[in-house]
Parts: sequence; structure tokens; C-alpha cells
Amino acid sequence: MASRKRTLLKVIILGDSGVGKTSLMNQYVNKKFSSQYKATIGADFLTKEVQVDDRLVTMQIWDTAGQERFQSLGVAFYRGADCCVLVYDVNSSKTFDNLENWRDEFLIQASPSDPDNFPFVVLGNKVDVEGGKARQVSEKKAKQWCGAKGGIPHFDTSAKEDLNVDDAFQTIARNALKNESEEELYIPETVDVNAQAAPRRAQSSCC
Amino acid sequence: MSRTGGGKEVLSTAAVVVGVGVGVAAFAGLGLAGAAFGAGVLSASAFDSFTARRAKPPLQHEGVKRDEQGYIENWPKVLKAVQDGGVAPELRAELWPLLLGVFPHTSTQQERSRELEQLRRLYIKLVLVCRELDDQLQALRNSTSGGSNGSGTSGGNGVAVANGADEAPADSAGLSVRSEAGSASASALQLGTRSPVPLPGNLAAFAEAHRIIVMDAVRTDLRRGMQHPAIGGRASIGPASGTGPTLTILPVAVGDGLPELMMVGPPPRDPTAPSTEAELAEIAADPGAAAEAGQLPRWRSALAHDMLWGAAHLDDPHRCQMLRLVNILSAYAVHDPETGYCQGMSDLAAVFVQLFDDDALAFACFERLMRSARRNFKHDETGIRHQLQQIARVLRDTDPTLYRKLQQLGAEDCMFAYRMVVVMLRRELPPVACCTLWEMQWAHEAAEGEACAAAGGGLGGSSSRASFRQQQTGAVAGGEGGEGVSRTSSDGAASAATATAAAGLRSTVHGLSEATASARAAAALGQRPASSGGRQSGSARLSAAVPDGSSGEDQPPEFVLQFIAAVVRAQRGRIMTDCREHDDVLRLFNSLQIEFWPSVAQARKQHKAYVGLGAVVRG
Repeated sequence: MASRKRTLLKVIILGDSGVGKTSLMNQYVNKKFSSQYKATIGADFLTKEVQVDDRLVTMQIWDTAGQERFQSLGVAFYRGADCCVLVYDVNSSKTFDNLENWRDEFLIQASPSDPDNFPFVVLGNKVDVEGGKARQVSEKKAKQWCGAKGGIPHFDTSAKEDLNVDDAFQTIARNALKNESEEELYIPETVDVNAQAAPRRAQSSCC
Repeated sequence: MSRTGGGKEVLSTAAVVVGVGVGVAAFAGLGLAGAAFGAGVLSASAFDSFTARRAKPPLQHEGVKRDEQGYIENWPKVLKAVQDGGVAPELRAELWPLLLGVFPHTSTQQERSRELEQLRRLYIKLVLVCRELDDQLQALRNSTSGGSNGSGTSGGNGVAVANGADEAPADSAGLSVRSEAGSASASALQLGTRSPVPLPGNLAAFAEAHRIIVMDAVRTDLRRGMQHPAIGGRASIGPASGTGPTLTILPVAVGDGLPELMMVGPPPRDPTAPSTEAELAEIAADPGAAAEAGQLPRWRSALAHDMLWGAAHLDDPHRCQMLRLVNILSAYAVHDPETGYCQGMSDLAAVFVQLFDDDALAFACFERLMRSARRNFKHDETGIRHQLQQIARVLRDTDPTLYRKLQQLGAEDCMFAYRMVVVMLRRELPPVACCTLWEMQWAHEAAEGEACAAAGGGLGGSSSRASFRQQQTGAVAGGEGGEGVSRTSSDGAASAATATAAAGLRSTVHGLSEATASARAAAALGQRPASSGGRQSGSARLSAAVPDGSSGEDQPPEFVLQFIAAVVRAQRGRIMTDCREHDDVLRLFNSLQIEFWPSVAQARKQHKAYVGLGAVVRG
């Protein structure tokens, strides 16, 4: 049977508070920017259908809270992620320095089956601010870090000006899909939606 | 099979093709998608749907019996009425401080005025401490980094002090703090520590808190557009922020793409500008006179200035409202350094900023709210987890089948209710409904607190007021004790003094109305996490469950938690049939439409059962 199976990709966006996680998500999904997004409490999500090569997949993007308090509660949202997007503000080196923590924390909390090869994507956001004059983290420095972490793809982005946002999420979808299909080897192509258990994630709902 | 058909996909089909945000979907459900028509229209329709299924009318002005001195003669009746139906908008500004215990309900109008003046003095001091801390920070930064105010970055550690005092324009904030704090170390402003020290812990904490406060204030919904008396009644008070449920994602996809926040109604009539340096200095020089005159500081840090006045999309009235919010939250962070600032608190404080013109009163009400809410923000997460467990407990007791389903889905930790708990449904309910819910909660708390106090035979009205006076004088004169802002002793006399001042203030404000405070403290102590043992089997119902499962050690879950549990139960059908995995539950509660009054009715039923049971157990 031809594979027309619907694929659901779960993508988690992490990063310090105020780096633009919600804005990036909304720019990508709704093509809208506002400087008025409220602070995210817990997590929000949006979905978007994406074409990756010849496959149509539904990307479910989870936007999380950035303040470090209550990070361990995040485990509920991290579960079953197919890709993790790490966001920092290029105008604040502290937000870049914290990527290490966000990455480590994610790997601990989400405990993916193959942590070394779990797909991350790094976005350096707000490159538009003051025409780049306020920049504190150079692209070179960021790419070095990404290289040291096993070659994480890196994008300079501006959610405000819609710069590189589509490209970045295309990469995110592609990498998530790679990860997802590997996980899904045992899943029959026809999904019985009436089945009791979740069809996709064998590891879910353990206690 | 089809790509998007059936089963769990039901939950996300709205997102096909362009992926409509959940926030937008929620708005559409309330008929709010046409936001381009302006806030007035929206508020009316939301208000109508809100009032439609109301069981009991809100407490009106004539429902409160006052003697000629403003003493409320029928307080128990008032509490009962508020528990049933909330408060009429035009009565809120008067009743909230009483419900929250800012003023004792036994007070006369004159006593309330006196206490308001006292509160203003305290608030002024807190704001001046903020200003002082910020000055110290600026001085430290200027001395090392050549004067960059670096909006968005907090100063790193290891900054050296060099001649910090030179940078501060000769203002007298610190001096006034010193003089007001009585005998506290006299060298409040003698910042001239010459040896390099790391950025003191309290300064670093304040800087970080203030940074996030400003960042959040600028994106907190403080619209005054709506003249509809949904929250505040008095037009000058600038009542509600719109009326839709306000999820994180504001409906951006309206009109020509302007975010809804930008489409405000007419600005408030009387925007109060930020204080000038001269005014601040004047207030600092004589806080007592300023308090008496009702002249409160609107301190504007460099960061607040950059962020608020640098944001082109804001108009001045908005900036001023946001600045008030920044002041109140920063003052709170100094007042309660253990909690500091955590995201979500701006949502809570914004309501008071909108209701009250008097910043000190707004602060005092917020501070009261935080006495119970602060546990939700505790760093070790025990508070929030306990609250979620309480919801789980109610679900387990009242609907074991639903609870079992949640267990199967791995969602029995009730994480899906996290935001509802943390911001007390501020994002899920329209403001008008949210205020009503909060009032009901406070009235329950107050009634239970009084019942508790009466049963304990302890602190009655007058004695509590006496102790509160003692507290005040004690704290102002002594300025000693309390856990301070500063844990480091190496950071010189200056911050030690501000820390002492802040600690003194803290205990002073905390001294207000001891009766309520101690009742709440007792309640908080009683609320240890229930042991996870003792799962109820099958048809075990409430009557059996509580004494057995939690052995009565817990207080009955508070009203707001009962409401949240009722909201969850209202989704029973969708949870049982549509949710196939954990994430489905999260998604469901992320785009929730709450039927307010039916959930209130259910919450009341549950609450009664638990309270009745508690009485039985105790008896």
C-alpha cells in the first residue's frame, strides 16, 4: 500500500525568556509578528502542515516558557519530541550561554532513545535589532558551538522581519522527520484510529 | 486512510493548511474573532454571554449595610453573597481591599483612610528602595563597562565597585530610606566601598527580576479601551483589558494584521505621567507628606524607559499603566525577595493596576493575593505540585472513571492545569468572569478564616488590629529582623541597610491584619502534599475517599481548585473519547472554552462536600 500515512511531528522550542520563541512560531505558522505576545506560561502550541520532499507532514510546534523557574515541570511537554529548537537572542550573550543548559536539560527530561543523534536546530533571533549593531554573539561563535555539539544546524533569524524563518523550520521539519521515521519502524502503515493506545509512541504513557 | 481524518486528529483539524493558533480558535468560539470592530462591541457580547447563565446576581451597593461611619454591619451576609455571585463592578474598588484583608472588615471609613496612608508610606519606601538598588546597579555598571545601560542584559558577576557614588545624581532616596527605617545603619547611601566586590547577590537578584518585570510589563494586557463596566465600574478607573480569554497568543490575525492590543479604545482621560526626578526627590525627602497627599512615586528605571518609551507601538497612557505595573512588581520583588518575580505574576498584578488608581492600594491588594499565590511560585515547585495534586485529588474523589482515564493517559499529574493554577484562570477566562471567580475565592477564604479564628477562640477583630499597630510601629522603629534581601555580608553597608529596610518593610506589611494572615498560614501548613498511596478503587466516592485516602490531614481544596476540577470534569466527554495520548489532554486544555456559571455551580457542590466532610472529620 502506498504510504499516505499522516505523520505528526512534535517540535519543542526552548530558550531564555524574551528571545522570541513565541514570535518565531507565530511568524512561521501565521505569518504575523507582534511585539505583544504575552509571556508564555506552561506551553502553547500551533500546528502547520508542511511539505517535506514528497511527504506532507503535520508539524506540531510546542512553545514553552522561558523563565528558569519550574523547568522540571517541562517534562510533560518534552515527552515524545521529534526535534528540539534552541533559540537565543543574538544581542544577549547570556541567552546564548544558556543554550548549553537548555540542551542538557532537554536531553535529561525528554530522554530520547539516541541522545547523541537527537536532532537540534539552533536559531539566533533578533538579528534585525539596531541593524545588527547591538549584536553580542557572532554567527561564527554560534556555529562553533553548534559544530562542537555534533553539527547542529544554525540559522540567524528575525521573527520580526521574517528572515530565515521558513528555511529554519523547513530544516527543523526535515530533521524531525528523519528522527521520526527511525522511531517508527514498527508502526503499521495503516493506523487504526480506534485503537486504545497511542499509535505512534510506544514509550508514551509509562508512569 | 485520509491524512487528517478521524480520531485524535479532531483536536488539531482547525490547523489544517495554515494552522490557526489555538488562541485564535478560542477567541472565535466566543464570537470574538471580529476583533476589528473594537473593544466596546466585544465586551458587550462577552458580557452578555457571561451573564446569561448566572445563578445568583452579584452583590450590589445596596446589599452592603454601612453605618454612618462606614463600618459594614452585615459582613457575614456580604461574604455569603460574594461567595454566591461575586461583586458588582462598581463596588469592586470598595470591597476588594476588605475581601482581601487589606483593611479589616471591622474598620470604619476613617480607619481605612488612616491605614491607606500607612500603606502609601510603606509603598513609597519600597519603590524608593527599588530606585536605590537600581542606582547602585547603574553605578556599578558605569564604573566597569563605561556606562552602557545594556537593556536586556543583566550585569555579570564580578563587577568591581569603583567610586560608585559619584555616578548617582545627588538624590536622597537612600537617605530617606534610612531616616524612615529608624535606627537602621545610618550609612545607607554611603556607597563608597572602595575595594572590588562581586555584584552582591541581592543586587543581582533584583536586576534580574527587574529585567524580566519590564520585559513582561511591556507585553501585559493592560488595555483601558473598554468603557463597559466589566471590571471596575468607574470609567476613570479604566476597567477591563478586553474581554476575551487571554491566552498567550493574542489574536493577531484580525483586520489588517494589527495585533488586537494595538486597537484600543479611547485613551483614559487622565494619564498620570511618570514622576520626574524632582518629584521623586521631593517624595524621598518627605515620604510622610507624600503619603498624606496621595502623591505616589512612578519611578522609571533606565531599562523601563528604554523598553516602554522605546516601543513605538505604545501610546503614553499605555506606557504609564505599564510603568505602574513595573513599579508594583518591582516593589513586590523587594518586599518578598524569596519569591522575587516569576512570570505569571504580571497577569495577576495587572488586574489591580486596572482597578485602582492608587498604586499603594493596588500594591497592597496584590500583596494580599500573593500571600496565598506565592506558594505557586516557589522555586522548589512544592507549591505548584501540591496544587495540582489537590485537583487530582478532587477528580479522583468525584469521578474515579475520569481519573482512571487520566492515569491511562499519563496525565494524572494534572500538568495540563498548570497555567490555570498559576495565573488563576486569568488567561482562560474573560476578565469579567475571572474577577468574579477571584472574588468568590476571597470570600470563601475570608469566611473560612473567620470561622477558623472563631473556632480557635483566638484573634478577634479588635485584638488583631491592635497587634497590627504594634507590628507597624515595631518594624518602622526597629528595622531589625526578618529574612533580609541580602545574604552576602561583603557587599558593604549600603545594601545591608537597604536590605534591612526592605526586611523591615516586609514584616511591617506582613503585620497587617494578623488574624487573616495567621489563618492563611495555618491553612498553608495544613496543606502538605497528600500521600500518593490510598488510591480509591472503582466506585469509591467522596464520602469514603477523603478520610481514607488523605486521612483528613489536608484542608479542603480551595475554591479556585474546585473550579479548575469542575472545568476538567466539564471536558469529561472529550477526555474519555477524544484523548488517546498524553499530548491530547494538553492540547485540549490549551484551547479551552469554559462555561463559567455551570463550572461555578459544580465547584460549589464539590466545595461544600469537602468542607462538610472536613467538619465531620474534625467533629
